[in-house]
Amino acid sequence: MRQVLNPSAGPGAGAAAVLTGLGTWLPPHRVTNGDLCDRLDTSDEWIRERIGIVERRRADPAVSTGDMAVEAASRAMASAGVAHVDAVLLATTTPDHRCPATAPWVAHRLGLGPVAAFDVTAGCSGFLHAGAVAAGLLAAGTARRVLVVGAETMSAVIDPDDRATAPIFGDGAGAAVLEAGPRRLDGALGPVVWGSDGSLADAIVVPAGGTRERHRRPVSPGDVYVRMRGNEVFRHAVRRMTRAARDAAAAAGWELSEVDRLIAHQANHRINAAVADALGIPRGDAPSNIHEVGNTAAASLPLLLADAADRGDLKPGHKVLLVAFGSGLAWAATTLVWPSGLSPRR
Amino acid sequence: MTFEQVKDILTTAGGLPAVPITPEASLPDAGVDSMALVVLSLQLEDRLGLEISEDDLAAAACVRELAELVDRRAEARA
Repeated sequence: MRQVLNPSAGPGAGAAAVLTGLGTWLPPHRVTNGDLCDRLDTSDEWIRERIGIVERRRADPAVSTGDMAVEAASRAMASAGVAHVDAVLLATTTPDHRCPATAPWVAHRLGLGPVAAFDVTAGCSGFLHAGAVAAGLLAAGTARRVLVVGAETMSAVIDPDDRATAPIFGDGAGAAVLEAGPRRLDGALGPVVWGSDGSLADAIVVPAGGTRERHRRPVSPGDVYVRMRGNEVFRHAVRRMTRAARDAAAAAGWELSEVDRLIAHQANHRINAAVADALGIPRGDAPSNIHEVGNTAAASLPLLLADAADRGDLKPGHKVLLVAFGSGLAWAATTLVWPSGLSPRR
Repeated sequence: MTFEQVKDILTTAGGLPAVPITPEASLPDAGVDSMALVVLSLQLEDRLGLEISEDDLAAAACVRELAELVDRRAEARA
């Protein structure tokens, strides 16, 4: 087992995080808008036109976030052609347990031995947050190769009777292998621009289950579900993603007019249209898969990257601007040039 | 702001179908939901520097009143 802990020991010091593998896994069960409308006061037409979602996947109750993470991660490692990583970072808001973190179990199931493994909680921007942490580990030489996973069982925290959230969220997992390499290499992550606003912690919240609400016993049944103030979230999502994306492009030395593809967290197609408009990026240059998978929170970006790459919508040499936003509130953005020879495994 | 300008924001930035958006249509009849009002609010801020919340916009009885509300706020600021 190679554990590089001394920056001077390896050539990783100062290195960039280079994307070398991508894998995804979606539960096979599809839930259509029609399936939901039997129970909710909404319509297929409204969900389709106003949010952009046609169907989403739902994990079997016997399948956990960790299970899906293992599936996506093993595919990402196969995509990269690697059998080992030095660390596993799992971005999720729906871990298998409150304690312990899910990542060590994922690493164990992947047969990785005693590697460093921990969860990253940053809502829908968790995948980019975990990517930023991985980039730091690679730059410092702490690790040479990191597995970054985004996996969510959002169906576990959705109130099936809440029409504001039930149609939106879906389950799934995506993973990336990041390796230390030269900054000029295609696939190298650019500077990460990120931030948070805890004054709006209650804009997207699962009230019960943590330490904040434990004085209220018993908790009301609805408090175990995610609650979202949709309009407020919409407004902040547009503003924060626009600014972060603009700043990340500038930090990479790119003009926005050079951006070939905007890869934005799939929360709502109207949010992304507003962000693309504000950035002056044609809406057609912002690939989307929300119609097929819904909002998969931390799994959203790797699922979209794999989908767009498979459809030929991401081509080698494309300048890609990535941005995400979610509970916290937290947001992040970065850049990369899409590498050649990367085949996502799905 | 004219009715046509409001309609233009709602259909281009907001992505709403144009046909139901008539001056006298109520916001629900015009297809103007709360997210469309957020988009309108953001656009008013970007284009005119006017801060009008979606709750204030939602109080308009019809699309024509949305345009009148924008004018009133713009005049109040001037």
